[in-house]
Amino acid sequence: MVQETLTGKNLFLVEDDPLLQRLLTDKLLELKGKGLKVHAISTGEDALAIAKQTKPDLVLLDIVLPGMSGFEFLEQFRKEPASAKTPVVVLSNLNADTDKERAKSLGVIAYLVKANFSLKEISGEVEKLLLGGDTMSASAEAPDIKKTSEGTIIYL
Amino acid sequence: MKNRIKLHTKFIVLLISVSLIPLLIVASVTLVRFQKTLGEDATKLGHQLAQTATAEIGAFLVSQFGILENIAAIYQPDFPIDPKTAEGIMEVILLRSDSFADISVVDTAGKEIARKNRLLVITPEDLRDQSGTAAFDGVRSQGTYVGPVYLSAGKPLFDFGRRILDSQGQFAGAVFAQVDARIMPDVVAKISRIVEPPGRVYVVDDKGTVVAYPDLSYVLAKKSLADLPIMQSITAEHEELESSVYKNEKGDRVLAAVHPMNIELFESGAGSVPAVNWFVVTEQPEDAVFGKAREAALFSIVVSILAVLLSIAAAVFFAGKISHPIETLHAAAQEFGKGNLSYRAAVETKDEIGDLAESFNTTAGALEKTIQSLKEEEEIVEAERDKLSLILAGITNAVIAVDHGRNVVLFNRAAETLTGLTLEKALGKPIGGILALSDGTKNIDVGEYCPPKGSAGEGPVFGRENLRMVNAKGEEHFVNMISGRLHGGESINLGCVLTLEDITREYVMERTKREFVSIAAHQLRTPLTGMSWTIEALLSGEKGALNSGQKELAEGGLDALRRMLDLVNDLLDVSRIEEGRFGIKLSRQPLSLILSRVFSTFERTAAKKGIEFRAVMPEDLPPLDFDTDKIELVLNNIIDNAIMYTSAGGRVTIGAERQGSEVVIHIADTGIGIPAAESERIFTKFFRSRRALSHYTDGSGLGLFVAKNIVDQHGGRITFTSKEDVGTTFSIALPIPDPASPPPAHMPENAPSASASA
Repeated sequence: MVQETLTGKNLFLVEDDPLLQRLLTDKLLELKGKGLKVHAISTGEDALAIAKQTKPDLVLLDIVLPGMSGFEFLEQFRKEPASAKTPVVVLSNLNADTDKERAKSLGVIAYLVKANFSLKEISGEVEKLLLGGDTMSASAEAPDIKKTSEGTIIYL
Repeated sequence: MKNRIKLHTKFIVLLISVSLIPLLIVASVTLVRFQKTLGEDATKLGHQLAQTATAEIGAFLVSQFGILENIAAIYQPDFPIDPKTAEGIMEVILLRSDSFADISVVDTAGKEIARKNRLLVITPEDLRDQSGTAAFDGVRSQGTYVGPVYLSAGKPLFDFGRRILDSQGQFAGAVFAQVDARIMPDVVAKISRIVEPPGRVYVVDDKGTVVAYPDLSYVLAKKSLADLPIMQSITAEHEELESSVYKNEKGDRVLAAVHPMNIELFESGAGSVPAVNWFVVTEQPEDAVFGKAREAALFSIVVSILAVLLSIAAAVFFAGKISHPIETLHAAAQEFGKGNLSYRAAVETKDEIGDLAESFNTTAGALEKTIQSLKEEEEIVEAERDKLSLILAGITNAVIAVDHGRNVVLFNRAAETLTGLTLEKALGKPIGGILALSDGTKNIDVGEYCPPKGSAGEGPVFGRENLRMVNAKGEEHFVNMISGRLHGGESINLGCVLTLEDITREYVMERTKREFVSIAAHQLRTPLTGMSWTIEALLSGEKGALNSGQKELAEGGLDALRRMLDLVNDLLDVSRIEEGRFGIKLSRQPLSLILSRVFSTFERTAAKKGIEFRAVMPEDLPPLDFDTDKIELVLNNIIDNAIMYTSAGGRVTIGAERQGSEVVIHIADTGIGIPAAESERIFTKFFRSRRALSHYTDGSGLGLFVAKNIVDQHGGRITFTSKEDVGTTFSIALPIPDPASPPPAHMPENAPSASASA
């Protein structure tokens, strides 16, 4: 692992379910030693507010949220020039094609159905995305579907 | 009507001219020639009468002259007779003659030597000296003398004398007689009776003085008729057949002819001597001569008038005959023009006009029939249209027809309800302004779904489902739209017909259900995720290491949770399949990649269970068109089953081969097998073999149902062969695409849904 590369990177975890937020945060904090700063946020409104101070390097976004939905957050988020191209990964238990299409239209780079992934797989993906850097070029490629032992990550 | 009169008149004038002009010419010529012939005939008659008069008067004079010769013979100087005997003979001759009134003989000096009178006794003292008289001078110079008529003792007489020659032929004296002149008026009166009164025949001398006339007074008065035009012919050369027409002194119009009366007397010893130089004039009344010509002329005139009248009548009749049919045709044409096609031109004539009328009637009849049939057709069409309207009104789907300009021409009741527009407002409007449809992301130009003019085929052409529309009243509707063109629509300017099924109710229900399923899946997954991740976190030992018993329990719980998640995912897939939303996104790719991935997925599981797991694949399989995700799901489900129902020490083999136009994937196991009795139900939803249940109770019974659906949607087949306790082989046959055909559109934005592994 290249520890230095995660140093100073900000990750937004937008997840309202306290248990899931706690479990994910704990798991992602294992990456903290490598310098990642995890912002656990429960609502889209808060995420927008925090994004004004801190520019995230990656956003893990739940869709079903109290107040504004993940999609509504994204619409606002993309309007800010600073975050127009910030990589966003949807992490939701919604699994409809329409949701995935909407996510794609809002520039989401990957769509993960939570239930189909282990914490370990998710943190591995996050690390890889943050280290991979050039996520935009990856998304421009034909969808690369990576099979894990538990589920399928869709790179949109 | 103006034309008709003109035509009629023309015909009349033509017919009259044609019939009358030759008739009149012929009549006139005939009349003139007839008149001429009559004139000539009359002249001939006049001459004949003159000759008759000449002959009669001539014969009388000759006979009287003969008697005088007898006396002259007695008084010849050498004749040996005594005077007394001579006088006696002379007296006998006188008494026996009807004509003589007095006879005398003179000597060469003109002295009477003997004389006898029918009434008086002549003594020597009564003897006269006739020297110097016209009679004596005439006889002495001419040989004869015929004197003018005079009246004596109430009788018309004329002196008639001849000379006496001696044996040497020398003048030896003369013999004179007073001759009864009644013979000449009698002759001319008799002949005059032949001509029609007031015609007359008379004799004049060479000076035009009347010599013989039916009426004696003219003779005695020595009437001169020298002024009459016919007398001009006397002085001129005596041409025969001389005639002229004039009004005579009595005021009668006559045709006159003159003929010379030349009488020569024969004197024995001296030959012929001229006696008189008179002329016979015959006057026939003009009326009598030309009466026939007048009659003929009158007749001609009458005939002409009759002919004119007849001509006019005939002309009127025939002109009518000719023009009437034309007029009838004209009237018929006008009736036809007014649309009265049942009218018939009543022309009976057997000529060209009759034929024309017949053609006319035939044409009108045909036209009437055509119009009638057109009307009937129109009525049928009308009825069809009414029927169509009725049917359309009864249809619950909105039906809208547009013309080639994409303007609305037909709009049923359902369309009114759907669009919120009345028929009146919709008709003639462009379809684009009436239907505002969108497919959820973009607006649809309905006009584009109308097949362009001239495109082939008929029937439904385009169909779009689940389109959203907001109508004129602002109501939201969801519709399925089918557009089609009609056969022959071109000719009636029918562009296409749009049928819109209002599926708003169904759509909303569907959406609600879909949302429910989606939310339900979400709501089920979230706690499962929580539990799953919690156990994972516990197992990770971050919160304290677990002992082996705790770890075993935790792993069991995690396993149960995963099966739960699989079930949720399977149910979601089934739900999508049943809704028809289980979209297949084909792309052309090699099969080997997916097979090796699936193989690696199960390698560990098989090994753990003590099952031999093998993959046998040829290198040269052609690329196939398939949905990676879905086919992977199929393979996962079948391999999962194969491993599940195969005991330790058993074998699962994956293989693929080309079989004709297909690539067949085989998954063979040495498991428990499927009872033949259940083979038909194996692909049905929630079905689980009793034999399988006896081994494992936790299968969902959905895997093969989902697999079959996916393979079917690829146009492939899924089959199996099985024998209980020996094993089962599933075969998935996928069609090989034509390499020349374009590969299916690759649609990354429609990336397949993430699905659970088996």
